[in-house]
Amino acid sequence: MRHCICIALLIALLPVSSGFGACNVSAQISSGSVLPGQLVQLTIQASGSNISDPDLSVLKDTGWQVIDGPVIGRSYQIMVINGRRTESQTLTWTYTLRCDRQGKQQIPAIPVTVDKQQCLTNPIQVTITSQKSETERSDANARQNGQPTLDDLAFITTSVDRKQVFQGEQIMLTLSIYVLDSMGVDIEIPRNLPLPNLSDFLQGPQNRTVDRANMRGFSYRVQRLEQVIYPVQAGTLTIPAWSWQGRVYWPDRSLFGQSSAIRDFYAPPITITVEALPPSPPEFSGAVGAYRAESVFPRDTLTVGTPVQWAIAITGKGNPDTVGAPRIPPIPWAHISGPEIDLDGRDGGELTKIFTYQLTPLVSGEQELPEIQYVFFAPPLRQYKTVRIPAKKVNVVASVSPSGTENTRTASEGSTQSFSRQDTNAPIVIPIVKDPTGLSSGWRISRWTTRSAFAIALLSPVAVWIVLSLYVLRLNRMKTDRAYARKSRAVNLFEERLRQTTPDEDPGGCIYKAVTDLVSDLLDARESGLTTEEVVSLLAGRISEDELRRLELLLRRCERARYGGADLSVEEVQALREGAFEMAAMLVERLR
Amino acid sequence: MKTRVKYVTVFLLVAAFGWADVKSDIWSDAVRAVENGRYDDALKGFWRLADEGVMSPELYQNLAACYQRSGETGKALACLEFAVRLQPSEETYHAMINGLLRSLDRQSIRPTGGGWRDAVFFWTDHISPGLLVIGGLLLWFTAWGILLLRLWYPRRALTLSAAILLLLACYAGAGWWHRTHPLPVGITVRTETPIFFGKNADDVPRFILSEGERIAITLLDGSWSKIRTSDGKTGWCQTDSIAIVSNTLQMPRTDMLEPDV
Repeated sequence: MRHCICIALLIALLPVSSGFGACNVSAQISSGSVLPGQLVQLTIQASGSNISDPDLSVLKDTGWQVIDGPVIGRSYQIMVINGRRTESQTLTWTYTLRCDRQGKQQIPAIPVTVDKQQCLTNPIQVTITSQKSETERSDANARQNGQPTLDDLAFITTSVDRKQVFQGEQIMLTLSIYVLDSMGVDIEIPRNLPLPNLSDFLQGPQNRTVDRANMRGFSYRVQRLEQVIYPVQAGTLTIPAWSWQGRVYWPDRSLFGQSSAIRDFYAPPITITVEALPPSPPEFSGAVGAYRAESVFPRDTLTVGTPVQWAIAITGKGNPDTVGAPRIPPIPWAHISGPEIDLDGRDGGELTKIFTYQLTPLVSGEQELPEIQYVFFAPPLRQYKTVRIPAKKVNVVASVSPSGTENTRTASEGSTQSFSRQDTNAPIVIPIVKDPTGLSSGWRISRWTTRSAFAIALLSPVAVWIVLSLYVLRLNRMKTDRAYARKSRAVNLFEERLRQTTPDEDPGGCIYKAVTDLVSDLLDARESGLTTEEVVSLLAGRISEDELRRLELLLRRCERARYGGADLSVEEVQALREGAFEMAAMLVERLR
Repeated sequence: MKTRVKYVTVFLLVAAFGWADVKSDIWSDAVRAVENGRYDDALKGFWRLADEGVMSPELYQNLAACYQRSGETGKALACLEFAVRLQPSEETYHAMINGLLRSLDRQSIRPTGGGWRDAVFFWTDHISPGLLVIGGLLLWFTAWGILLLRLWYPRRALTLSAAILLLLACYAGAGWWHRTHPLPVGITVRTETPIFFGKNADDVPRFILSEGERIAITLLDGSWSKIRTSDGKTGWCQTDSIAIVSNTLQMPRTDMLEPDV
C-alpha cells in the first residue's frame, strides 16, 4: 500500500517536476547588504532556444527603482550527438537597481518566458541599512591590521559649508573623490561624471581642485568639485545622494601585475533647512549675502552737455543674478541714462557687478551727486543691511558752442546758441548758429592735385631705385662681361680716334686703325693689328656683299694713303672720315 | 601779357570775395527764416550752401536744427552725424546727438563696422589719420632708402629690414585709409521703415525700424540697401527711407536740389 502511494505521488509530480526542470532561469544580486540609495547590480540569467526579456514590472511598488540597464550578454551552444544537432543560448541581463527604504527588502521573482514557457527567477532578500554591514566590520578588522580594504582604496564624499541657510544664500557644495595616494591605486570614473540632481537650487560658479588629505589613517589624492548653489525656496531641501559606478585598479602579484574591480561609489543625501527672508524694506535690492558699494566718478569738474560715465560697483559674495541696480535719487541738474551692467570675477570668489550710468549735466554751478543707498539681506546678521555711498560735490561749468558762444541753462529758439535743456523730460533744442566761421571756402587745393602730389611722392623713390638699379646692373656687367664692355665703348672709342685724326700725322693710318678697331670691338675679336683681309673674313655673312665691298674699298684707300708716300689733301682726309663715319654707322646698325 | 594776367587775377579775387558775401547773405536769410518759423525756406538756403561745397559742421548743425523744428528727427540726427564726421573731436555734437536720441522712442546705439577692418586696424583707432599718413610716408621713404643702400652693399639684413619697413608702411597707409573711409551709417528718416528679407517691397517685412535708428549699410544696390542693425539683424530696405552718412550726406530731400552733397 505504501509503495502504491509513493508510485502515485511520483506519477502525479512527474509533469510538474519536468515542467520546472525545463526552466533554467536564475537571478543574482551584487551585494546582499547595501546602504539606502546605494546602487546594486541585479543579474538575471536564462538558457533556452527562444527567450524573451524579463518582465521587471513586478518591481513596481516594491521600493526598487531601475536606474540603468539592461546590459545584455549572450552565448550560444551547439551540440551534435549521434548526428542529432541541438542549439541553445544563454542570455544574461544586468540591471542597476536602487532602493531608498531601510530594512529587509525583497526583489520578487521576475517572470521570463523561455521556449514559450513562463519561468520565474528566485526571489532575493537584500538588507538595506545605514549600519555597518558584516563585510564593513571585517574591513574594519582588516584596517586595524594596517592594511587598506577595497573600500579604502577609493571612495567619495559630499559636503556643504552650511546646512541652515536663508533663501537665496550662497552654499558651497563640495563633491570629493578620494583615491589612495600610495600603492599605485587608480580609478576609472565615467567620462560624463553624473552629478546630483540639484533642481531645488540655482547653480553658480564651479571650481575644480586637486589636493591631498589624510582620512581613515591613510593618505589620499582628492579631486574636489566645488559647486556654488543658491536655494530657490524655503523649507527642507535635499541634495540627493551622489552615486555612480567606477573601476578601481591596484597592483598585485598576478600575471599582469594589476587587478581591478567595479565599485559602486555612493555618497549619502544631504538635507538643508532653508529659512524664508523676513519682510523686506521697499529699497531691498534683492541681493542676499555680504556686499559693499563703491562709486567711481571720473572728475570733479564737469561741462554742461558733456556726458560722463558714473560707475557704481557692488562687490561681495552672493548670487550675482539677484544683485539689482542701485536706486538713484532724482538729479534735477542732470540727465541720467543707463545703466550698462558688467560682471567681474566669476571664479567663485568675490563678484563685482558694475552699473555704469551716463550722466549729462544740464545746469552749471556747484552741484551735488546724491547719496546712494544699497539694501541687501545679510544672513549672519539675520536682517537687512544698508551700505551707503556718500554724496559728492561737483562743479559744472558752462560749455562753449562751436561758434564760441557760451551755452547757458536757458535755451530759446533763435535767440541763443545754447542746446541745454530746461528739464530732463523736455526734448533738446538744437541751437541755430548765426555767425558762421567756416563759411568762406577760401583757397583750396583740389582733390586731383592732392592725389597727384601724393602719388608722385610715393612713386618718386621707386623711380629713383629703378634707375639706380639699372645703372648698377650696367656697371656690374661692364666689369664682368668683356664683350659687352668692348661693344658698349666701341662707338665712343671710334669717334675719339677720328677726332684725333689730323692731315699732318698719317690720317689714312688713323682712320684705318679706327675702323679696324671698331670692327674688333664690335665682334670682340683681337684687339689690334687686324688686316683688311681679316676684317673682310670676320664680317663675311654678317653684312651684305655690297656693304662689305664698300668697307674693303675704304680700308684699301686708307692703306694706299698710308703707304703711298704722298700727303693727303684736306678734302681727301675729310672724304675718308665721312666714309669711315658712314661705315661705322652701318656696322653698329648691323652688328647690334 | 602781364597786364592781362593782372586783370584776370583781380577779376577772380573780386569774384571770390563777392561769392563769399553771397554765402553770408544766404546764411543770414536762412537764419531769419528760422526765426520767423519758415523752416522750408531755411532748409533751402542751407542746402544751397551745402550743394555749393560748404563743408562746415555749423552748417549741418543748422540743418539739423531746422529738421528738428520741422519734426523730422531722423534727418536732424543724420545731419548731426555728418557734423560729427566733419569734426569728430567736438563733444558738443555728441551731446546734441545724445539729447536728440533721448527724444526718440527707441534709442539705438551707433553700429560698429565689424568685420575684418575692425579686426585688422583696431589699434589705429587711437592714432590720428595725419600721424598715420606721416608715419607711413616716413617708413616708405626709409625702406626705399635702405633698398638704395642695398644696391651697393647687398646684405641680407638690409633686404629684410626694407621688407619689414615696406610692410609697416603699407599697414600704416591702409590704417589711414580705414580711418578716413569709415563705413557708411544709415539713419532711418521715416516714422516706420520696413526691413525686408530681399529686394521686394511686396514681401512681408522681416522687422520694422522706427525713425532715427542708426544702422550699418553693408551694400548699396541702387534703390535698395542691405543693412545691419546694432543688434546684428540684417535685411534690405529702400534707400529713399534712410539717410546715408559717409564722406557725403545723402538723404531724401523735399527741396528741388539734388540729394548728393
